[in-house]
Amino acid sequence: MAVEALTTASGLLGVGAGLALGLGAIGTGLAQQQIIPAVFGAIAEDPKLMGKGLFFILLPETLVIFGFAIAMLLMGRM
Amino acid sequence: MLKPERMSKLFVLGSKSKLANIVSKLQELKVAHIIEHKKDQFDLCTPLQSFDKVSSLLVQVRSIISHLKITDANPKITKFKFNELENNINKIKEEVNAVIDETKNIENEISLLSSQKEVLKQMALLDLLPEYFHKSNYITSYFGYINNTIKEKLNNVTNSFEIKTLEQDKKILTAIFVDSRYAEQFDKLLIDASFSEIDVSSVIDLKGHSKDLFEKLLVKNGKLETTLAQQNFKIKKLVNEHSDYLANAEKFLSTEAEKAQAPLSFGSTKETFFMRCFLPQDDVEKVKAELMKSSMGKLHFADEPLGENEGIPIKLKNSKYSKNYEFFTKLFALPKYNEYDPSTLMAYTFPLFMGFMLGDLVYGLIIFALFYWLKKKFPFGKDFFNIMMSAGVSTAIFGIFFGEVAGFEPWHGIIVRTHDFSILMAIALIVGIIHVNFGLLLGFILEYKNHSLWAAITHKFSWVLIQIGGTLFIGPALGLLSFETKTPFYIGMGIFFAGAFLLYKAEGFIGVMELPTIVSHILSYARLMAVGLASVFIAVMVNQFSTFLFNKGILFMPLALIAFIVGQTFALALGILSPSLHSVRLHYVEFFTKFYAGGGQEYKPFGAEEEKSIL
Repeated sequence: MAVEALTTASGLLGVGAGLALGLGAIGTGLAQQQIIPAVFGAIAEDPKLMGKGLFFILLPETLVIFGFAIAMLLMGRM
Repeated sequence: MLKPERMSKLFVLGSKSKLANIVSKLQELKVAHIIEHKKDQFDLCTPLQSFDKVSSLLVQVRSIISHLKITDANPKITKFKFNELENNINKIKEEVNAVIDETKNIENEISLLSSQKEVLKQMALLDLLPEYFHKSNYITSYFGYINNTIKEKLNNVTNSFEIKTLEQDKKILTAIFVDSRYAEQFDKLLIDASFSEIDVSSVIDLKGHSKDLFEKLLVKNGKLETTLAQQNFKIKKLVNEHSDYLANAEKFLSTEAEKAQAPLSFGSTKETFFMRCFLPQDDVEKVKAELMKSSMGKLHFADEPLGENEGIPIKLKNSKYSKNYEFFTKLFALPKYNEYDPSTLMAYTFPLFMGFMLGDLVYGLIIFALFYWLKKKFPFGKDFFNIMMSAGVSTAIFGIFFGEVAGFEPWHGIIVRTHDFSILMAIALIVGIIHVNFGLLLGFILEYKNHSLWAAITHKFSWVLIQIGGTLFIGPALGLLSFETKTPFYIGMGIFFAGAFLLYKAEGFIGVMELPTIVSHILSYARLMAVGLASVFIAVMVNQFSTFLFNKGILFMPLALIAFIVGQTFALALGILSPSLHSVRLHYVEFFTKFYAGGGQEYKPFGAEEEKSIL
């Protein structure tokens, strides 16, 4: 990346982008932390639930993707 | 192609005298999914005559197989004559039982010997004879381990006792012989010292010194071990001799048993039986003709209409390539009879999505080779491996397109992923809009066919209105669109609220609550870019790090090589796992929810063997 004069504003945008992605990832993690054990419990009872279980595990990953989208938007303004 | 195989429901009525022939024919044809008859004014049919004989033979064969521990046999379909089979099985059973019983006796003796040896060894340590422990009315004996010395405490009770002790790491081996009058007090003291008793009952009848006895038992044990080895050899010989025959007989008898029990799903009157079954439309005429022939015309057929909710079994129908993707459909849930089977759709979008995310020539080729190898090695998982192979091809093609080779960039791709973020993002979102709306279109058609045009408009078309209206209405506020007049804003608002109202009509307040999901579902396709970037940057980092090491001098070269191999393996492993999971997820969460619920019943034709799969 080219060395440009970094202003406070662009620095804060960078921090914002990092927070957006990081907090999104934490949110996803918190949600999956509860879903995954439940799903694995269900699969142990009935292996046919694997597909639906996978569906529920992957559901909260949208959060981190949103974080990523926002981060990209912010990076574009830097 | 998009719908599961079309089914028919057939009613068959025939004379009981032809029951066995009909059942045999049905089992041979392997197409009829039999509907179980529930007892009403018509009773259930009774099993075929052969049932008792077949099941008793089957139990015997299975018990022999489990005694001989035959697990790796590869049974072939064989025809047996019942009388001959019965004789042979009885002969084998006698032979096997004799050997097994003898082996068990020897094993029991060995285990008795080993417990005797253990006790005698401990007695020998204290120089005791087994006969000391004979039951007596006057003397009570104790033998075992205690945790701390106890002699003084015992002395406080009485002097008329004898004690022998030996310290062994932290515990004390102890033998006590006491006047029975004091036994109760001794019991208490010993409990306090955590006395754990050694059971001497197995040796008290032995005569002689414990050391000599121990030696004798050792010799006896050696002899028994030799006989046991001989016995095991005999068993092995029996296994070699009979395993194929037994496995074939087991297979034959299980099919016969299945056949003999089949009439339990039929209904009957005094002289006739009747049954209902589902079968593929294309097979109906053939099945009718075959059954008619094998019953010599003593049969009546009736085609019954398919009921709305009667659990019509689902037989998926796809091209050879798309068939692999039934794996993903089954993993989620089988479609209902009136739903679309999404396998064919996934067969084209899954590799595209995964290829777009991973997009690397070398990775693609490695994935193709890896899963090709796995397919040869584990044929039962071939559906899944075929899917991954197609994804590998697509990854390689996208790799050429992006100009990426294991994270390096030997030529300038049409899109350079490390720079053209906004183009990638735009492509991802456009793909999202197309995919989601395609799902809505499928949902629209299904609603229209299965319910009404109004249902289709309120449930599915409303979402399209919401998208168009929302873009015009909210777009300018986000800076995505700009208009000179306010007219598009008002039009957008109108369309948006019309859509929302239709949705409210269809699904009530819950529907309105779900409005934002359309945005989240489309934005979710940003992962096509995000996961892709992550996979590129991991590879780029690995390459930069190893190049850095490589340039440090000749001493660092091996280190650079290791870093490159380990790093690339890691990048590739992530590259297989993450894009494939995300690609599946885009289908399951964003695409399926627009038109697919699933919940169909599996088609299980009578007589067909269950296929092995990794599911």
